Amino acid sequence: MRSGFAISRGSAALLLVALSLTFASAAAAQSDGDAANGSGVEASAGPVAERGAWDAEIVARFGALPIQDGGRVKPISTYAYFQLLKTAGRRYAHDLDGERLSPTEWLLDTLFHPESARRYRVFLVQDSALLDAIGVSHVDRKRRDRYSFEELAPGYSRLHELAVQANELPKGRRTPLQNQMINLVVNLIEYDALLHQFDFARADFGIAEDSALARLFPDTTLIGLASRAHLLRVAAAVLNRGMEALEERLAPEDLERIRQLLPPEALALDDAAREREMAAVEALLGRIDQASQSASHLAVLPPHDPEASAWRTPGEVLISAFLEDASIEPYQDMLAAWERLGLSADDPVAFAAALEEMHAAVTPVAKARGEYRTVPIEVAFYRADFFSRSLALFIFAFILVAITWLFPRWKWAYVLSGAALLPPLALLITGIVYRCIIRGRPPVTTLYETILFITASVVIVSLIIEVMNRRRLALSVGALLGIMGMFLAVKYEALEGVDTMPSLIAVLDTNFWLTTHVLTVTLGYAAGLLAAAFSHVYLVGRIVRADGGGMPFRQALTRMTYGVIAFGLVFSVVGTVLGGIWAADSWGRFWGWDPKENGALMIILWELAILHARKDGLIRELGLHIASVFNAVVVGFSWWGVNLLGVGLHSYGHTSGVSRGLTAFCLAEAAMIALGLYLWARAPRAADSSRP
Amino acid sequence: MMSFLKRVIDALASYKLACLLFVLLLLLTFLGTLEQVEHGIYEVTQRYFESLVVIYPFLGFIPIPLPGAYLLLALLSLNLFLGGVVRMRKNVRTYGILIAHIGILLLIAAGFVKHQYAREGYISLYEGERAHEYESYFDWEFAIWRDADGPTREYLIDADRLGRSRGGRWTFRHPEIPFDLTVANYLRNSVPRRLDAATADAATDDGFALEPLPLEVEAEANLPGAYAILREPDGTEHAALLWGGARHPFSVEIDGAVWSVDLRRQRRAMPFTIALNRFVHAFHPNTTIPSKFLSEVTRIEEGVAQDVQISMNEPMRHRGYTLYQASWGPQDAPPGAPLFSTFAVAWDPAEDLPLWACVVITIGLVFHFGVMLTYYLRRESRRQAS
Repeated sequence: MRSGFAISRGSAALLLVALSLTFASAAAAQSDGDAANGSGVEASAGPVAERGAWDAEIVARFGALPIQDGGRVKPISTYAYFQLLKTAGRRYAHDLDGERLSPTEWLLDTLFHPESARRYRVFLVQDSALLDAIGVSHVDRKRRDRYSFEELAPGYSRLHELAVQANELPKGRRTPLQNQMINLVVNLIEYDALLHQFDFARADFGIAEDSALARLFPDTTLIGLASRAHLLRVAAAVLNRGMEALEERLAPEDLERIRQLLPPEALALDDAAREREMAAVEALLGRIDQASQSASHLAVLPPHDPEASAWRTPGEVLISAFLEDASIEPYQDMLAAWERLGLSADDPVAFAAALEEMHAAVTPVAKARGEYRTVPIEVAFYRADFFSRSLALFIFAFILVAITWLFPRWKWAYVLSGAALLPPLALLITGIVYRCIIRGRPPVTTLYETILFITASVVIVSLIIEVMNRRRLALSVGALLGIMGMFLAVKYEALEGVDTMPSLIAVLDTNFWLTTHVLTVTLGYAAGLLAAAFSHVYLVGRIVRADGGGMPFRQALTRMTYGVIAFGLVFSVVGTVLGGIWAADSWGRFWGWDPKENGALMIILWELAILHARKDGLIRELGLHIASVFNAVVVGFSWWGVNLLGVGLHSYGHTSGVSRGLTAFCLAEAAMIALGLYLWARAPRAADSSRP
Repeated sequence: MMSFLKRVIDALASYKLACLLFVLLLLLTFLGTLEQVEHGIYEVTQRYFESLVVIYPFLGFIPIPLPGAYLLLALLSLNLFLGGVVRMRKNVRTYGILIAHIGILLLIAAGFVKHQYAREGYISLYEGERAHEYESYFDWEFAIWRDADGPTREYLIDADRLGRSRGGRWTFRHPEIPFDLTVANYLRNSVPRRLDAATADAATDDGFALEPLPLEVEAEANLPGAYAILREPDGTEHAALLWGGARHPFSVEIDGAVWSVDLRRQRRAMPFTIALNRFVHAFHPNTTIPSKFLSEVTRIEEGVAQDVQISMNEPMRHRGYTLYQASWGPQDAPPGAPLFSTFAVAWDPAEDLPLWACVVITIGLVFHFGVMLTYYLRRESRRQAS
C-alpha cells in the first residue's frame, strides 16, 4: 500500500541521522514519560513588542516590495492603500496615540504589531443599526463611525451568520444594511488574515531543547522545519508503521545502513511509547499546518519558473513542503528574509536588514520574469499623489479666475489665472500618462479613469475656447469643472476602495478598441457636460443678473454651448458606432440594446433633438440652455446610471453608493431646469429671440 | 390633392417631426433600458425595439400605448430621406450634414437587414467534437424523425409560433409521418414535476406534468415544454411530455419503425464543419478574472481541413459566417475536468455596412464641424480685431 508521501533516495543520508536521533530520543522520553508536546501556535504567538514609529526609510522600502494582488504585480504600498481605503473609507488611520498613519505604516503595524493594530479604529460602519443587529455597543459613538477589530470581535459570529444569509439573496434584493454586513465581514476576515500573517515566524512549535525533535531540527523556526520537512514525515511513518513502512521505498543497502545506525532501543519501543512519539509528531505537524495557513494571504514570492504565472504566499510554499514533499529551496532566501521580518519587528536595524534581504531575494526574480519594471513607477505615482495635488491647484486657479471677475481691468490677473490652470492640468495629464505606462494601456479602461480623462478633456477644451474667444467664461468653467472632476475622482476612489488599475477581463484586452471607441465616447460625455456647464453659467448669470443683461455675454455662452454640443455629438456618434463595430467583432452583434449602448444612444438622440430644434427655431437661446442642462442628466444616466442597473454586457464598476450621488445630481439639474423654465415664463419674448 | 400631398410631405420632411421622433426614441430607449432590470434584454428588445407599438405599464398598471422603435425608425428614415437628403439645401455649409445623413440612413438600413435576415446562435463543443450545425439561443422547434442507421429526413415545426398564443392546441399531419402530432399547453418556460407537485392541468401517463415558470431575465435560460399526443391512424394514442431540458427525445415504435419527437433549440446548418482540437482558458493569476479564452479548431469544407484559432476579439470569418469565442463550461467543473468551448455564430448579410456607415458619418460630421469652426474663428477674430 502506498502512503501519502514519497522518499527520494537522495535524502537517505539525512534520513539515517534523523531516524537515529528520533528513536534514541524516543526511548529516552519513554523513560521519563514526557513527550515533546509543547504549547500550540495560538498560545505561543508570544509577546509582541509595543510599536514605535516606523522609520521613513523603512516605510518606503517596505512599500516598494512587490506583491501579486488582483492578478497583477504591484508595490505592497498600493496593496496597503486600497486595503485601508476599503476598510476605513479613507487614506489614513490613527494609531492608539492618535498619530496619523499612512497606509503602508498601517499595514506595517497590522503585520508586525498585531496586538496594537487590532485596537486601531479602522473599520468604517456606515450605520450603527448594523451594530445593533450584531449586539455590539456603540454608546457615545456617531451613527457612522469607525471601530477597531477588537471592538467588533464580540459580534463577529452573529455578523458572519447575517452576512451569509444576505449573500444568498440576489444582489438587487439586498438592503443597504445587508450589503454593509457583507462588506464588513469580508474586511474583518481579510484584516484577521493580515494580523496573523507573521504568526508563522512568531510561533513557538514547542520543541523542547533537549528533545529528539530538537536534534532532528537544529533550526526550529517554521522555515527550518520546512527545509527538512521530509524527515518529519519519515519519522511519522516509522512511528506509525515501523521500519516496514520504509522497506517498500528504500533500496536494500539504505535499509541495511539504517538498521546498523539505529540504536537497538529505538526499534524496541513499546506500543505506548510509540503512540506517545507519534502523538508528539502529529501535534507538531498540526501546529505547522496552522502556522503555515496563517501565512497564506500575501503572494510575495515570485516563482522562478517563467511558465508559472501565480506568485506564491509563504504559507503555500510551506504547506506544499510538508504535504507534497516540495522543496522550499527555490524560495529559501525569500522565505528566510520574510521570516526575519516577522522576528525583528522590535529591532529597527535588524528589520531594515531583513527588508533589504527580502528585496535582494525577490527583485532579481521579479525582474527576470519581467514583472518588476512598473513597480518603482507605481510607487512614484502614488507618492506623487498627482490627483489630490491637481485638485488643490484647480481650486487655486479658480480663486484667481474669480479675482479676474472682480477686477476685470487687471489684465495681468487674467493672464495669471489662465496660466494657473496649466499646472493642475499638467499634473492630471502626468498622472494619466503614469497610469498608461504602468498598465500598458490607453488612458481609459475603467469607470474611474473616465473621470480623469473627462476632467482633462473639459479643461483642455475650455482652454482652447478661451484662447479662441478670450471672454474668461471658458476659463472659469474649466477651473470649476477641474475642481469638480478631481473631487469626484478622489471621492469615487474612496467609495469603491478597490485597485483602480485592475486586471482587465479578456474582452477588454484590446488596446485598439479601448483607444478608439472608449476615448471617443468619453469625449462625447465630456463635451455634453462642458456644454451643460456653460448653460449653468448662462442660467445662473441671468437669474442673479451677473451678466448685466448683456447680450454679448449671453450670445457668447450660447455659441459656445451650441458649438460644444455639436462637437460632442460628433464624438458620441462616432464613438457609439465604433462601439457597435467592436461589439460585432467581439460578441457577434453590432447593436444589442444593452443599457450602456442605450445610454450612448440617448445622448445622441437628445443632442440631435437639440440641434434640430434649434435649427427649426423650436428652441431659442434660453431653450437651448435648458435643453443643454437636461443633456447633463442624460450624460449622467449614460455615464453612471446604467451601471446601477446591473444588467448587460457593460455592467462594470461596482457603483454602490453612487446612486445617491446621481440622484442628488439629477435633482440639482432638475432645479436648474425649473429655474430655466421660470426665466422662460417671465422673459419677454423679444429678448429671447436672438439666435446663437 | 397635390397641396394635401405636399403638406404631408412637408410634415414628413420637417424638423419638427425629426425632433418629435428623437424625443420619442429617447423616451422609449430610457423606458426600455429600465425595464431590462425586470424582464431582461431579449424580452424588452422584442417589446420595445422590434415592435410597432408598445404598451407601457405606467405606474405598473396604467397601460399607455407608445410607438415602438421599429415604427419610429421607419418614420425617421423617411423623415431623414425627405428632409435631410432630398429637400436639403446643398451648399458648402450643408454638404457635411448631407453626407452624415446618408451615413445614418445606411446605418438604419444595416439594422433593418440584420433584423430581417441575420441569423445567430451558438455551438458548444468539447475537445475532439465537431459540428456543422449551430443552435439558436432563443428559437425552439419540434422535430420529428424516424430512427435509422443512416441519415433520415427531419420534419420541423417552429415552436415559437405556438408560444405566441399560449394555451391552444395544434395538430400537425404529414403524409410521410404515420401519426398525427397534437401539441397542447405550450409553455415558454417550464419544468416537469410529478403530478402532485405540479399546478398544470394536464399530465402524462407516467405521472409527470409541466409546471409553468416565470420567464427568465436571461431569455436563453428559458426551457419550454408542451404536452404532445401522437395518434396513429387506428386511433392508438401515445402521450408525451416534451421539454426543452430533456436529454433524450420521446420515442415510440409504430409499424416496426421507431419514431422520435423532440422539442429542441432550432438548428441551422453551416456550409462547413468545425472541430475543436484544443481549448485554452486562463485567469489572471490568483484571481477568477478571465484573461484569455482561445479555441484551436479545424475548419473542414469539402474535404479540405484548415486549422484556425478563435479567441476573444479575434473571431473566425468564413463564407458570411462569423464564429466568436463566447464562453465555456461547465462553470462549476472541478480543476482538470474536461471543458466545452462555446462559439457564438452569426450570419449577417449586412455585416460590414455599419463600418461603412461609420466612415461616411464621420467624414460628414468632421467636414461639417470643420466648416462651422472655420466660420466661428473668422467671426471671433473679426470681433477681437474690432
